[in-house]
Amino acid sequence: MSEPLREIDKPADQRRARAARAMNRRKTKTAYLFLLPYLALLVMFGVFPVCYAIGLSFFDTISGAFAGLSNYQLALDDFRLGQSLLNVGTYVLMWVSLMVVGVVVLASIIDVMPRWLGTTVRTVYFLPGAVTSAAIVVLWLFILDPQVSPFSFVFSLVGWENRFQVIDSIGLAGVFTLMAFFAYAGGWIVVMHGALTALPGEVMEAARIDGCRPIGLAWRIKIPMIWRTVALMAVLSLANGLQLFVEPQLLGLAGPQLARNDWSLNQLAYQYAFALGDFGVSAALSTMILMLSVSIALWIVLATKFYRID
Amino acid sequence: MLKKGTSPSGMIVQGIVALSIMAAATVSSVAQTKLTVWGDTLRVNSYKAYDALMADIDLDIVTVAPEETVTKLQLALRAGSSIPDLVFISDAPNSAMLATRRTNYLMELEGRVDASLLADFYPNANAPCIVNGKLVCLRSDLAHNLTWYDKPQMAAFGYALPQTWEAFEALGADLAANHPGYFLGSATDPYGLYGMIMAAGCDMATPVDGQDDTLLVDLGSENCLRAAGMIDRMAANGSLIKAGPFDAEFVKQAKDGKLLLYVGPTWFGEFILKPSYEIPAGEIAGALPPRWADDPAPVTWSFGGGGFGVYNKTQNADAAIKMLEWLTTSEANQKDAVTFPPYAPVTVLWGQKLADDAYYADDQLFAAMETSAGYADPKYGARRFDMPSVIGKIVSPAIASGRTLEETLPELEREIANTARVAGYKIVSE
Repeated sequence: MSEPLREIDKPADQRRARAARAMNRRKTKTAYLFLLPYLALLVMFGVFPVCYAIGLSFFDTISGAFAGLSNYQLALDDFRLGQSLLNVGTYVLMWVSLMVVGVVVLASIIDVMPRWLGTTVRTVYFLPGAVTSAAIVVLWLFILDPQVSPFSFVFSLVGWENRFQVIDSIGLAGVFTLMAFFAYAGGWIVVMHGALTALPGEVMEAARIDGCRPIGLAWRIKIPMIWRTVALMAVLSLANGLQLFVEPQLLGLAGPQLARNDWSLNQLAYQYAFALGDFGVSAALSTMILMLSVSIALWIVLATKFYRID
Repeated sequence: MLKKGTSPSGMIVQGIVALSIMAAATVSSVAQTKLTVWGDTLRVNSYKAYDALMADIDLDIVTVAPEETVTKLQLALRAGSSIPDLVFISDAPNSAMLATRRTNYLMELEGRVDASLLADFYPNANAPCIVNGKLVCLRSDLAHNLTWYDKPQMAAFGYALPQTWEAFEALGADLAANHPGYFLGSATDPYGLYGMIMAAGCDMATPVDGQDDTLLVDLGSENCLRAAGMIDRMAANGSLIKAGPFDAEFVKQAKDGKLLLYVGPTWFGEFILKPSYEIPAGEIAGALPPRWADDPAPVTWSFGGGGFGVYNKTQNADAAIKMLEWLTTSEANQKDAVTFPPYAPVTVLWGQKLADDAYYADDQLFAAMETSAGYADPKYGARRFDMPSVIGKIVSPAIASGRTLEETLPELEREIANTARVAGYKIVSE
C-alpha cells in the first residue's frame, strides 16, 4: 500500500529537499558575507603575520639565505630559555587554576544572590577589567609598595617592609597572577553568570524539590552543566597567559632594580628582534610559543571532547 | 638669524616665523636638501630651530620615544624604507646596537666630522660612541657622577667631604653609629651599584683593544672585591639603603632630609634633588666624586647621556654631518641645553647659569662638574646589552633579600658572560 504512495510523493520530497538546500545555501552565503570583513582583517593581521613569522624563522637575518633549523637551534640554546619557560609555566598554572576556581565560585555566588544585589556585585567585579593591563601594572606596583599601599597594614603584619620583600615573598609569577586575575576575572564572571542564568529553570526546580541545597545545586547540577564555558575560559586564558609580555616588561616603571627584560618567553622573542636585530631567532621563538599554545589547547579540546554535540 | 640668549620656546616661535618668511621668499631660489631626523620631544625643539636656521635644509622631523628608538630603527631597516638620516640615541652606549652586522645603521664619523671639533670634546666624552674602535656617534650630553651633598648638614655633623671611597665608607659607618637614619645612597639600585663597582676599576665588560666584539669579564679581581666589600658593609650598617632613588621609600627619606650625600650624575641636582626630593635652596653642593686611596685619581662613571648618529647610507651625508656638528657643538643649540653639554667651549657658557643659581649652596658646582668630566672612565663604552638590567636581575634582589654582593659576584659574572655571548661577543676572562 505504502510503496506506490511513496513513489508518488518522491518528486514532491525532492522538490522540498532541493528548496531546503537552496535556502541553506543562501543562508550560508549571507553568513559568509557578514563574516567577510572579519575574515579579511583576520587574514591581514592574524593569519598573514603568523605565516610570515613561520617563514622568517627558517631564514638567516643577514644573508636572507635559507637557514634550516639553525634559528630554532639558537633559540633553544639560549641560556635564559629554561628559566623563562619555568616562569611562564608557573604563572599559567597558577593563573588558569585561580581563574577556574575563582570565576566559577564568584559567578555561582552571584547566581544565588537576590537579583538587584547580584547585578550590582557583577558590575563591581567587572570594573577592574575596564583598566588596561599597562595601567594595572602601575596600579599594582603601588599596591605592593608598603610605603604607599592602602594595604600596608597587611604587609606590616607579616613583616614586609619594602616592595622587594613583598614581590620576593609573593613571587613574580604570583604577582602577575594577581594582576591578571583582577584584570580578566570580571569579564569571565559576567560570561559564566550568563551561562548559569541560561540553565533550564525546571531542572533547578526539580533538584530543589528533591532536597538539593544551594551548594549541592551548584556543585552537582549547575557546574557540570556549564563545564564547556569553563573549559573555553581555560583554553583562552592559557593562550593568553603563554604570551605574557606587558606585565613583566613594565615592571621597570617601578625603578630599574625591578626591571626584567627576560622573564617571559615573549620578552625573549622581543629582545632578539629589537635589541639584537635577529628577527630569525625571534620568529623561531614565537613559532615555538604558538606551537606550544596550539598543542595544549588541542589537547584540552580533545581530552574534554569539547566540540562533541550531546 | 637667531639672537644669542633666546629661550628655546622663543627660538621655536622665531623659527616658525623665519621659516614662513623664507618659505614665501625663497621657494625656488634655494635648493632644498631634505633630511629625515628622529628624536625625542626635547631634541625636536633643536631640530625645529635648525630647520628654521638653515634655508637650504628641509627637515622631516619624527618624534620617537627614547626607549623605542632602537626598536623602530630595527623595523625601518628591516622594511628598507622611512630610514632616518640622523637619529638621537637616548642612551649613548646603545650605539653598539645600531652598528652591528645585522643592524648596520651608524656611519663612521672619523674623517667626516671636523677633527678640531672632536679635539674639544671632554676626555672620553665620546667613549660610548666607539664601537670596535670606530667612532659612530657624537654625544649630545654628558651625565658623569658627582658627589652631591647636604652642605649645612655635613658641617653641622662636623664631617669633612670624603675624598676617597675609604673615607666614604668610614662616613657611612660613623653615620650608622652616631646619626642613625641618615644615609648615603642605595644598595639595590642597579645604576648606583654599577657606578660604584666601576669606580673601583672592575672589568665587568671591558672591550679588548684590537679584538673586535671581544669583552673582558673578570669579577674576581681585587678591584671588584674592594667595591663589593664596601657596598656589603654599608648595606649591612644601613648607610646604603635597600631602595632605589626613584622608590617611594627613598624619596620619602630624602624629603625628610636624611640623604646626607649621594654619588650621582650631573642631572641629579636639577632633575631629582630639586623637583623630586624637594630639598630646600641653599643646601645642595656638588664635588668631585671619591677615588680609591690607592688610585692617583678618581674614575667617574656615568648614568645616562645621549648621542646623535648618522645613517651610513644617507643620500645627504654632508648635510647630515653638518647638522650633527651643529647639534653637538654649536653655542646656539647647547648654551641653553637642559643637561651638561659634551663640547667644552660651549659648556663653559652653559655653566654660567649654574653659577648664578642661588638654589645651590655654593658656586663651585659647575667647576666640580667640569673637573669630574675630565676623569670620565674610558670603560663607559658602547655595549650591545644593558648592564643595569643584568645587575637588576642578579644583584638587586640578592642584596634586598640579605645576601651579599661579594657572594653574588660569580653568579653576576656568569650572567654577564652569557648575556654578552647571546649579543654576539667573545668573552675573555683575563
